[in-house]
Amino acid sequence: MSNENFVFLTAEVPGVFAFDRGKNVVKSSIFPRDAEEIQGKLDDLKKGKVVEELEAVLGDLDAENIITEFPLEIEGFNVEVKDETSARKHLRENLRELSKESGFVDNDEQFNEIIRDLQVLKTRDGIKSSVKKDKVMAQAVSALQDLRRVSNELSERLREWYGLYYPELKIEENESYAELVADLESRREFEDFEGSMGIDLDKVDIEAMRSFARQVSGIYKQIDELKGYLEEVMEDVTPNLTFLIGSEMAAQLVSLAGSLKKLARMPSSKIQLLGAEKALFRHLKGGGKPPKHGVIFNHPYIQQTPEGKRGKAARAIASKLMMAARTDHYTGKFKGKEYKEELEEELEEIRNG
Amino acid sequence: MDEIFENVFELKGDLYTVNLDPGEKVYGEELIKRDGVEYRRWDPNRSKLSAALRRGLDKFPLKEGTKVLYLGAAQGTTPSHVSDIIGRKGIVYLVEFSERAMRDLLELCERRGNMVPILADARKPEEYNWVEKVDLLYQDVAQPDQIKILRRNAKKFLREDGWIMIAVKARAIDVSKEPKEIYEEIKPGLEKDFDIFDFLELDPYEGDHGFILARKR
Ligand SMILES: C[S@@+](CC[C@H](N)C(=O)[O-])C[C@H]1O[C@@H](n2cnc3c(N)ncnc32)[C@H](O)[C@@H]1O
Repeated sequence: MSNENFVFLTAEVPGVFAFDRGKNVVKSSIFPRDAEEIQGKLDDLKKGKVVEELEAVLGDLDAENIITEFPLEIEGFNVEVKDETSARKHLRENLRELSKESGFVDNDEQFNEIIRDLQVLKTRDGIKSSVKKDKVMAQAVSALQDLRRVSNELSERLREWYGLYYPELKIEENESYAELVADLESRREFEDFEGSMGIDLDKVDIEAMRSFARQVSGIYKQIDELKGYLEEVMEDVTPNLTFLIGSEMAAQLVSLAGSLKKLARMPSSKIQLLGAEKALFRHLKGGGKPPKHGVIFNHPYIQQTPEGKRGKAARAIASKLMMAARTDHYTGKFKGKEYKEELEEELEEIRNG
Repeated sequence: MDEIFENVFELKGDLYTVNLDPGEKVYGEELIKRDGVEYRRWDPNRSKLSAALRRGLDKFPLKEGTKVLYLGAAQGTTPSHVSDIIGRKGIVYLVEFSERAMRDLLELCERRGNMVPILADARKPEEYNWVEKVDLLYQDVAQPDQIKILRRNAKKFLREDGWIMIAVKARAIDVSKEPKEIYEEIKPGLEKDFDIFDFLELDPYEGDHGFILARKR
């Protein structure tokens, strides 16, 4: 008796099915005919979550024992989990027929289309290069920012340190300053050394400063290298975003969004504020002005726009960035030129308007 | 317009199929209108199946409603004409492992409800074992082990009496041999499971290529 009292429970594109031992459908509940929803429900089932179609099938099921491939725990039933069951195979092999019989689709055309929709969805997500490397790029751009911050700090230290010895040395650029200090053995080698206000130091003191300067200068080289790398890879991962706003800001946006996929699913209003979270939080807590721009505020496009019009400019940029991110994620086609021309025209209008 | 096979047309020496996606070209082919119907020119220099027809393929098993498994779909040049011929009742499952090619193919699939993209290696049919039994298996992968790949897929997905069409790139199998010689080499193996209906060389449209039409026993 109890042996007879079991069903095979399985699910595929058309819905959730319970079969008896003779592979007859005991009960079924069909999914809505929408690829994203179906994908979501099948994923849930694989994680052992109970979806509403499953509940419907369980509702008045005349059985106590369930054999299924899903890791389910359901009150009132004994569940045995098996990877591959004959019922599952049966459903897969008769997908088209069972889809029609269950009323999931009315005809072959509809069946073809929903299979197509599902595969398009799956394939898009499976196109790895953009989906996978985007996370690597997010790290690379953070590393670049770390290096910049550290190089600034170290440069300041170097200037203060070497300034004791040779305060007259006036070189604007940190990178050149470090290189120069690393290269020269003593201040005597500078032409205008005569009459320096600095203190006299021993060779060991100077050597310690030079060694430090070499490290600082190495960091600048590292920065250039990383920039080149980022440029090269981002042109492949997000060709459109990169063409529009440059590899570094493109990588920053991907990094802030979490992934290219997430960025591609964001509305432009959110893209506009990426990186402004802290300011937004302050505003919500009752202090400070509402933030208008995220990282894109730093782009020359906005810096070149008169202050009163920057909000408008940011909106225009964000909406183009949204299109670029979607193109990068979904098709990978290059439409950057088009986007850039359109954007620059719009910005022109905003500035003159 | 003469209909030389079901849904395959000829006009002034050129082949055409009825555009399932009116107004849209796939690879720059010419579009023409006759009696309110839009046709796409099927270029034998771009598509080996068209070249095979030009070279006189004497049987053509594709028709309205045919289910096809297509290995090596690339950007979808030939598949788009297959999609035209089989119509919305038919379905073509497109296996392609190059992500670059797949990006273009995806756009095409989005526009055509009977083209189903599968990003997978045709050497691993387990990865797409959910595909139903098909009426025709088409293969154009230019790989040295292409016959092995074909047999594995045919075993899993091709129905009884189902058809196979294979484009064979001679140089991919053996650089020193002509298509005809390669054909003679692979023929005995194929004849174990298939009746061979036709073998054609595709030059001048496609150098170095042979085309086989056969049927599962
Ligand atoms: C000559 S092209 C196909 C052209 C296409 N049949 C047409 O006529 O429009 C060969 C394609 O097969 C793909 N390919 C080769 N080996 C493959 C495999 N093992 N699995 C999937 N695709 C493969 C290649 O990436 C390439 O896009």
